[in-house]
Parts: sequence; structure tokens; C-alpha cells
Amino acid sequence: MNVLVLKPSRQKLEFSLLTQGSERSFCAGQVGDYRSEEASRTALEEVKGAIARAASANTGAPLPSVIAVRGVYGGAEFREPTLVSPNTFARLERLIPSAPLHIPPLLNLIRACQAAWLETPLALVFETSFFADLPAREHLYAIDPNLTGRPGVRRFGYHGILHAAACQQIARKRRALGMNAPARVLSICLEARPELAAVLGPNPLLVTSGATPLEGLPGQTACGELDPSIVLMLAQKKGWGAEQINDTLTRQSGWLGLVGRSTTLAEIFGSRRRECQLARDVLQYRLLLACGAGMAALGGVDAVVFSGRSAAVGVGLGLWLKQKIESAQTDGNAPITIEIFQESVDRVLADTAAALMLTPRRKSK
Amino acid sequence: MKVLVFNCGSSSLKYRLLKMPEEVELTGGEAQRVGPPTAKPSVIFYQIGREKFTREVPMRDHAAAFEEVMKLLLESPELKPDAVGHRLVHGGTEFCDPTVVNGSVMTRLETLRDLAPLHNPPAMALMYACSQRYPDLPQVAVFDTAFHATIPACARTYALPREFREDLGIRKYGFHGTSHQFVMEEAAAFLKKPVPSFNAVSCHLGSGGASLCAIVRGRSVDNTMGYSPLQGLVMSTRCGDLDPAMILSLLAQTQGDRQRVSALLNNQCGVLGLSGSTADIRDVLAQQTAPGTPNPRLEQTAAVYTWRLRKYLGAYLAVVGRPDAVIFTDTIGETVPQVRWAMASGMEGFGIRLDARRNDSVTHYPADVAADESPVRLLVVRTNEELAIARRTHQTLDRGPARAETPRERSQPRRAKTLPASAKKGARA
Repeated sequence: MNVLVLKPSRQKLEFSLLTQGSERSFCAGQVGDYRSEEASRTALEEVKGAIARAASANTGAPLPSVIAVRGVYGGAEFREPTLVSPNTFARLERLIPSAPLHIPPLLNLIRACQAAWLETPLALVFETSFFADLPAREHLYAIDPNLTGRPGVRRFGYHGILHAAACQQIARKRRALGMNAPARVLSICLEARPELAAVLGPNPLLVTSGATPLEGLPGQTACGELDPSIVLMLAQKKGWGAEQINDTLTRQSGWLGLVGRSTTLAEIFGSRRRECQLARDVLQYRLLLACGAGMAALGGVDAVVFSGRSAAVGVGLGLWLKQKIESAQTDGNAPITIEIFQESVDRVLADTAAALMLTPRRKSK
Repeated sequence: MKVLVFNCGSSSLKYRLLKMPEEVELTGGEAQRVGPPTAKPSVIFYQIGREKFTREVPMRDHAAAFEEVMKLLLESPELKPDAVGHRLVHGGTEFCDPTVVNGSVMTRLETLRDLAPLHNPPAMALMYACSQRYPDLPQVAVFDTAFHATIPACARTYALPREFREDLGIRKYGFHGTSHQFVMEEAAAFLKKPVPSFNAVSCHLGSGGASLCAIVRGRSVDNTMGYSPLQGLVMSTRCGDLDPAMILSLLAQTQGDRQRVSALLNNQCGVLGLSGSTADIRDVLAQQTAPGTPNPRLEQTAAVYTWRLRKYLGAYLAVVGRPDAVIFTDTIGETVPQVRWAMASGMEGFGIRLDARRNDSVTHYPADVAADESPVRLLVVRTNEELAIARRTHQTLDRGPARAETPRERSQPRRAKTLPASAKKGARA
């Protein structure tokens, strides 16, 4: 089955066409602005053009059998992948108040997709779905929800697609070894905004991200966890408004802020450069704290799995964490396995969409 | 040496007079309703020996309360203090040890006002009043942040641009240090372990503020509070950890009214925000177990409160490795077995086994509530910040000539002198 994967994010639309039986994508790339109604039409024309160009060098353009659209935020509304049907639009519109920046462009993109690829089904897969049932003790903040102005405000995770796939792989491996008890997994997604989830069997019990992806582990340019007073202090000392502070916290902080220039996880953990030392120490330490919290949530740990674009960093990092975790545990615990989940989010999305097409309970309303 | 210890609240002033190093309490009390006149008069409740007294007297500010306390003490010659110890919440990066108060120290403290706008000024007003009225009475400032000066860069650094970290002093400072250090030393003594090799997680669970501290070789390596006492655990009315984006949306909602947002996060969140009815976790737990229809909001409050504690306990156990002890202290930690149980159950993987019967029947302190086979001891230790401050004050003044001084220290007068006029300007009414 040929699947066209579309990943809209804040500033760009990434696409990738995965064909049946092939490990590599037939064609992949990104286009710029897609957010308005008109821009999304133009963006998809560019995607079509790119596919056609890739085809002329090969043998004919493969038509997608399904389009998989990755959504960042689906709230409590979208608990699993869905094929887009007429009532999907109303469900998405209900989410606008809680994600005013995400949902309207997504709606534009979906409508443009339907116009560009008539009759091609669309699968909508949300990063937050995996975390829809996160227990209240974990997802609630110690603030009266009526005072926040956003009554539904709660914690989510934002890399659910990879966490779910990585944990499923661990479950399969364990079943093959005859281990049927639900695995206690620390799932670490190494993307531009790294995220740790503590997962028991298929259920996440804890995640480092928050009401938005800004909370949690420091990201490429995002600050992660902060003392709330720091935000107020910046407002006072700098005389900045919310938007300006937001810009600094989301685009000039994180590893960028710690190293003083843009960098990658591979460089931070792979090189011995002095300017990367602080970023390495801070990230390692925050991960260790999150692992400890996760172990408390799970009552122990069986496996640590790394996923995401920088999953390979987990080879070395995993050994360090394993040694730390094992020294905190009492003797008699089974050794922890470290796994690297290699698949890309594109492949997981394509597989999810293909599986949706094949399930009999396909919604066609 | 008779050491008079002061601990300022926002509208109260606690004091105790201790004979050191014998650690005998001679008298103690609390001035209440310090501030502009209210419906009820300002009053000092105090105790000498076993006898209790009250004295109604107007005290318009902390300096006036100090004056009244001193008057009261000087009425009995045997209660005349030889030294004063002050509790200061914030010592910034400058004050990592108890410090003898003098003019230059006050000048340096003035520069920290920004870091602790709510907490330091009352204590500083007391220090000014004391050095003016009793210039020969030595004063020592003991800082809540001092014990946390050893927190390493990996734990104290926020992932922010260098400019913020270096120029604005944004870092984790940590709080409750006087208490964490005190209970850690008590716990080490109880287990007959030397402090320099003692590892622990200390849980200071007050009825107001609360924090956990990771301790390695007798030194603080992390604290759940951060740049301010707002971060970390769910407290009675403080929010603890929040997504920074939530603060930004609150700021946007209030048209940038920082003070309103700050008041909300400090006074209306935490247990109060979650429960909607009480700021005291003991009320929540009591109503939860009381017969009658279950109240889902109270159940959630208890669940969020203890879950956050468990997460941080797990995090710090991973950092410390295998600790000698987990220490529970302050009002909630000392007196609410349910909270200790909620934190310690299901933590066997970390070597923690609570004995439910021991946990429910703590009658003396320190008490070990771990099961015999538990590799990690679980100790309930009574904190005593005033005694801790008296010890540090006594140590600091007593070290005197025996201690090798650096030239810089020698150039500063050991005894407090009348302050320069410039330093007095900052004194608050």
C-alpha cells in the first residue's frame, strides 16, 4: 500500500511517500507555509510536483492509497487514529479553543488534501492520543482550572506515536521470550523536544511534557521545565510581554541557550567539545531525574527504549542511565534491557494508516 | 552563651532564647499580628520555664516587635542575650555560610532584595533595628539557601540563554536548607553514621511550604524548590511545577499584571486550588476517609499531592543511589502517617519497605518506621530550625581566634558596629 505521510508543524509541512515493500521513502521533502486555506492548496501542489519529478526519474508516479496526516494535538477528543469522515470536522472544531494555533491550519490542510487527492482516504493520527487516558493524578496541575482561563488544561505527551510503537515492539520481543507480564518501560523519544514517558504495558503513567510541549526536558531551542517565578521575573526585569518571553523560551533556549549556538543531540553526546559540556550534564541529569520518577510511577523498570531521529544517541546514553538506575535499585531486580527503536515516525504513520484501511470497523459516515 | 533566635513570618515574629552549647531553652514566644492595627490587638505569647504569659502591645512592624521582645527579655537579667541569630530565606550566591552581620553584609544583603522580595525584608528590618539599638550585640545571619550552595551545575542550571543565567542570576537556589541540614545531621547521628559519608533524601513537608532534598556525602545535591520557593511539590497554596506556557497565558489574560499572577500562584493554588475548599492536606485526607459520599475533587487533590511527592522521591533516589535513609520532617512529615505511607509503598525496587504498624504509632522522635529487612531506613525526625540557627550562630561566633581567617575576613569587624547611613536607607518600616 502506498502511503503519503504529511506532517504539518508550526512553520512547515513535511511530506514523505512510502511505497509498499520499500524501506526508503519514494520521495520526501518539506514545503513552507501551508497554514491558510490558500497556502495549503499551493503547498499540496508543490508536494504533487515533487512526487511527479521523483517519478520521472523512476518509473511512473505511485498514487497514494491513503494519506496519513500527523496531528500534534488532539486533546481528549481523539483517542486513536481515525479515518477522516464528515463528522471529523465538527470534532476538530471543538478543539479550537484549547489549541487555537494548531487546529485551524490542520482543518485547512485536510480540506486541501481532499480536493487535491479526490477519493483518497485520509487517516488522522495524533501525537497526544497515546496520552488521552493519562491518570488524573499525573495530568492535573495544582491550580484551580477555573482560574486558568482554559478549563480543560492538563498534561499531555507530544510524541505518542513513537512511544506507542516502541513499547509495542518491546511487548512483542518479550512475548517471543515467553514473558507475558506487562512490561515496565521508560520510553525516551530523542527528537528536537525530547520526551520521556513511563509506560506500563500499553498505558503511559507519566510523561515529562506538560500542557504544552514547552514543559519537560530541555529541547533544541525550548527551555523545558522552569520555576514559574522565572517567567514573572523576566516580565518584570525585561519589561517584556507574554509573546516576547514566549519567543525567548521556545526559540532561544534549550540546548541552543546552553551551548551558545545551534547544536544536535549527536554533537552534545558524541563530541567532547567543551562548550557542549554543560548541555550534556544538564540533559543527562534531567533524564536521570525523569527515569527515577518513572521508576517510582511504574514500581520498577524492565526496559529503557530510545526512539526518534536521534535514537542512536541512546546507545551510549542508555548505558550511563542503566548503570545509574541499577545502582539505585536493590539487588534481585532483573537486569534492565536497553533497546533502540529504529523506525522513523513516517514509517510508523504509514503502517498505522495502512492498518486503519484494513480494519473492518472502518467508519464511512 | 545565650543565643536569641528570630524567625520572621509575614505578620509574626517567633523567638527563642537558647543556652549554647548546652542547647537548653530558657524562654521563647511569638509576637502575633505584627503590622498596622487590626480588629484584634498585637500580642506576644511567651513562655518562661513552664509558665505561659501574654502581653498585649502595639507592634506596627517587625522592628517594633523586636523592640518589645527585647524589652521583655531585659526585664530578667538571666534572660539577657549574648548573641542574636536570624533566619534569612535568601542568601543568593554570596552567602554560603552563616555570616556575622556588619555594615558591609547589610549592603550586600540589600542587593539581594530583588531575589527575595517577600522573604528577606522583615528579617533585615530586625537586623537594622538590632544594630542601632544594641550595637554591641553580635548578630549572625543563617541562610536557608546556604546548605544548597553545593548543588552542582547540572542540577542548578535552567536551559536558558547565557545572558539570563549569568546576568540575571537565574538558577536554582533551593530553600528549607536549614531544616534539611538539621534533620540530616540528626538522622546520621541516630544511625551512628558520620555526616561526610551520609546519603539521604530529606522530605521537609510543612503545612505551608514543602520541599525534598537529595543529599550525597552530607551535602545537598538537589532541592525541589528552584529559583524561588514556588517550584516543585504541591504545597498548601503554592502551585509547584507548572508548564511555563501556562504562566504566559495567565500573563496574557491579565494584560501583563505580574502581581496578580504571582498572588494567584502563591496564594490560591496548590492544595487549595485543587480542592477548592481547604489549603490543608490534613483536612483533605481526613474528609477522604470520613464516612459518607465520596468527594471526587478531594480524592483527586490527595492523589495529585502524593503522586508529585512520589515522583520526586523516585527522581532523588535515582540521583542519590542507595541512600542510608529517607527522612520525613516538619508538620506533615512528622505527624501524618498516611502521607509517609503513600510515598513509601510500592517503592520496594528502591530498597524501601515501610512497617505499617511502626508508621502508625510514632510516639517519639527520631523514629525509624522502616521494616527490619528494609535496606533503606525510613526516619521520622523532628525539625527544629531555631535550634539549628542557634547552633550555627554559636559555632560561628565561638570559632573566633581558633579559626584561620583570610585577610579579607580579618579586615571586617567581628562585632556589629553602628551601620553607615547609606545602609540604613533601605530599612523598611
